[in-house]
Amino acid sequence: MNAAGHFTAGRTHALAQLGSAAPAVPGFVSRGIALVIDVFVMAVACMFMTLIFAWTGTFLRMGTFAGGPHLVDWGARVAIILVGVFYLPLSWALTGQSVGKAILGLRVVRRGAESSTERLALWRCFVRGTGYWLSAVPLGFGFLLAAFDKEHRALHDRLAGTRVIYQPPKRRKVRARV
Amino acid sequence: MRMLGLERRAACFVLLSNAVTKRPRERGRNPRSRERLVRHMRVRELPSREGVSTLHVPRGRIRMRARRAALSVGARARDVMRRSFRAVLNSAITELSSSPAFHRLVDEVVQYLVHHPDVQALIHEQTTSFVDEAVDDLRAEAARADTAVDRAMLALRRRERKKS
Repeated sequence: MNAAGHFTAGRTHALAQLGSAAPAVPGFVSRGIALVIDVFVMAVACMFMTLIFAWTGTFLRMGTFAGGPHLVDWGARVAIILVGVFYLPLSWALTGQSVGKAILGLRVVRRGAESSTERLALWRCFVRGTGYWLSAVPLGFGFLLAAFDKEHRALHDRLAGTRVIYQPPKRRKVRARV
Repeated sequence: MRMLGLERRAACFVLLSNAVTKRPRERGRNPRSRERLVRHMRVRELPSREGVSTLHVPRGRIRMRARRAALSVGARARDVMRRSFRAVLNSAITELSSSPAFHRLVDEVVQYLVHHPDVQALIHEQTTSFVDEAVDDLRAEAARADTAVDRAMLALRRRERKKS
């Protein structure tokens, strides 16, 4: 599983100088940036869901009958919870990447996976998603674990039996020119 | 009636040109014109003899004035050319913009360009290259920071080992 893309060549070289023969894996900073981007995406999604619920409530004039405003309020809250619960696990299960990881060129795979394109099981994704919250609870110590670990596995990776690798570069199709 | 400076000069120019072009006997006969010439154009008065011109007209000054006039004629000609060209161009543009055939032609050219695969590929490449470049930079910087953190961690581990 050769995960070294063109932007990781420098990192592979530097790690080889430090005495590591293993292929380069993303470190704490890359994963941290990806997490920040994901949090931002989730915040934007939650904001849109809240707005959509508010506009729907206004359009249907839900404020005119009893319990209408509460219904809109609860609907928005449920939507936010759904985004928080399903966004990351579903994106990992479908593509192996969330938006943040895709931007940083990272991919989540099973620890013993033979291929980088192997899909993660849905249960593993949900365990990893739950592990995110567990990692965040003790002042983010679970995330910090990635900086100390040799394979850069955080708490949620250990719980779900996964690891994060660099996305292998895609082969670009060469168009035949007549 | 007091004449303006420019008018006065123009009148003197006419008088001078008359003085040069007219026959010697006719030069400076009119006392008023003669006075003007002497005063404003610094024409030297010669000792008069009957039937002979009494004014000495410096020919160099006439030549200089003629040159200036020729230059201004050239500039005027250029200006006229420019104005007429602009008018022709404006009328052509107006004509074209109001013509339905021209609109049809432009539409056809745009449609041809939009559907041409090379143009499509070019537009796609240009829009994606900027984003690709920014993302590549971000990835490279993040990988560099990762290596720096790894190096620091490795140094920390070595120090711990030495202590123990």
